[in-house]
Amino acid sequence: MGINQWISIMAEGLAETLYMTVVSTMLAYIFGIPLGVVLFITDKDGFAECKVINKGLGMVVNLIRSVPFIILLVAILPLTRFMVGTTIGATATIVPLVAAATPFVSRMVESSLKEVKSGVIEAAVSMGSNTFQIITKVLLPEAKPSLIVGSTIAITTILGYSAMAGFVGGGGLGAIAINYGYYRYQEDIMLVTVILLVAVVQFFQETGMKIAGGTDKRRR
Amino acid sequence: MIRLENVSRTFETAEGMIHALSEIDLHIEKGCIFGVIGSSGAGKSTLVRCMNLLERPTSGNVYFEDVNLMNLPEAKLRKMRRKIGMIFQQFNLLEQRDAIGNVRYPLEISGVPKREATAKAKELLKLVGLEERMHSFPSQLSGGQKQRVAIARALATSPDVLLCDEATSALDPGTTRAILDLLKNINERMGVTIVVITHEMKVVEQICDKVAVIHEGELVEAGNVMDIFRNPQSDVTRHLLFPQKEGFEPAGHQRLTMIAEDEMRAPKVKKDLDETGLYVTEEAVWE
Repeated sequence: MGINQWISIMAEGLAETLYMTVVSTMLAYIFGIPLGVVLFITDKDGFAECKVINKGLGMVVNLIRSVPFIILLVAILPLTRFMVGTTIGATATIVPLVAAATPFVSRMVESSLKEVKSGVIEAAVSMGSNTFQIITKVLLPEAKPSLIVGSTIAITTILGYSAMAGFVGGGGLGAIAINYGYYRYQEDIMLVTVILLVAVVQFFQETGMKIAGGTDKRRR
Repeated sequence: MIRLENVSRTFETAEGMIHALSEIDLHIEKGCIFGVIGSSGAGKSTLVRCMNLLERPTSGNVYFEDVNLMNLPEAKLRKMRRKIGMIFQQFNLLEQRDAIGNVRYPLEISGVPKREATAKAKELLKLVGLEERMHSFPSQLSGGQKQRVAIARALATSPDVLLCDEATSALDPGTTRAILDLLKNINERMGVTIVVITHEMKVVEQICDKVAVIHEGELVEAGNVMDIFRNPQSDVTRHLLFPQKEGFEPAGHQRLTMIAEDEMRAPKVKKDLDETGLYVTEEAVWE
């Protein structure tokens, strides 16, 4: 294969990786934020304390989180086929990625919300805020810098997961590293994909931290 | 204005039941500045939180303008809370909002249009003397300035009562004085009833008309500040008025002078000096 062909394979892999990672992260947050909020407010001494919901949801979250991703990936293949119609390719990989990342993200969201001082929430209650107002106008905005830091951690973890999906026919750089580097011993290809992955992680990390720093009003 | 009737609050802990408040009866009249004093752990903070039901009493009734808050459904209680402003020792400002954003918050949640809310917030920041800092974030403000923002925020919904939970305890003496003056001003000019929770007698001395003394969850005595100063009924009160064995306490002496001037008689004062000539104790001997 010529160099141009390699470049186009790599470019396609990179695009697929970014597509899987970004879309999965977004979906994981769409599900994870409400779940994290519920975990937080129903917790002991939370302002909508509810033991049943908190323990129930917490157990499901812990259960999914304790299954290694590579196993989860295989275990939910039927669900993936049902939802996407196939189990191979980048789009199909999004299903297990979201399934694995959502519980993780909801715990990250929960821990970010825990950083909001309880006194601030108490003040909001004393002013007559309802639960929805406390969530949307106090908890989430006050936790925003921490949530953004959390999301950079989440996106790099999801990126790592997406590479693993290469083993079962997922797309992206992970699949290239496995198919060419691992199965065909083309170590140079392996090296290039690793460098690209490192670059992507660096990019997400730097951007995330920058945004988080810029948005935090607690610094002078 | 606010009436507590037989209010008790107990907490269950691993070590057993804790009676934070036992059968408190209290009446806070409209327009006054009412002090609640007690040493730490006496139940003052629990008491003030029972007034707007941030903490629900285990038993008893809490009346605000003759409405029993204990019987109100959640939505009505939230509406009622807008008539009861509250400020805190730790200010509890929204850290990701600037000063004006903080003052606008209570207006936003009660559905006041944005332009109107901004105008009102500006007016309130002017009232507390912070109009120039309206775009500063809490992290850029001093403790006293933060408390001013908190006061402006608490006043945004034009409450009838302002509850102050140790509002000056995190501030230095000069700032404390300024904040107390501001509260007094608000009471006089706007007719807002003010409830001040404190462990410092000088706060009561400076602004309160009425005072209640709380000790170990029980109401020890309550009445006009001057009456209590002149004729304390319990050791707890006497100790709060004239702290002993804590070294020289000039405030105690001032208090005696104040009472003496008011009564046109001098109480007998027993003073003990240590070897360096400093007062170690100062105690009024009442006839």
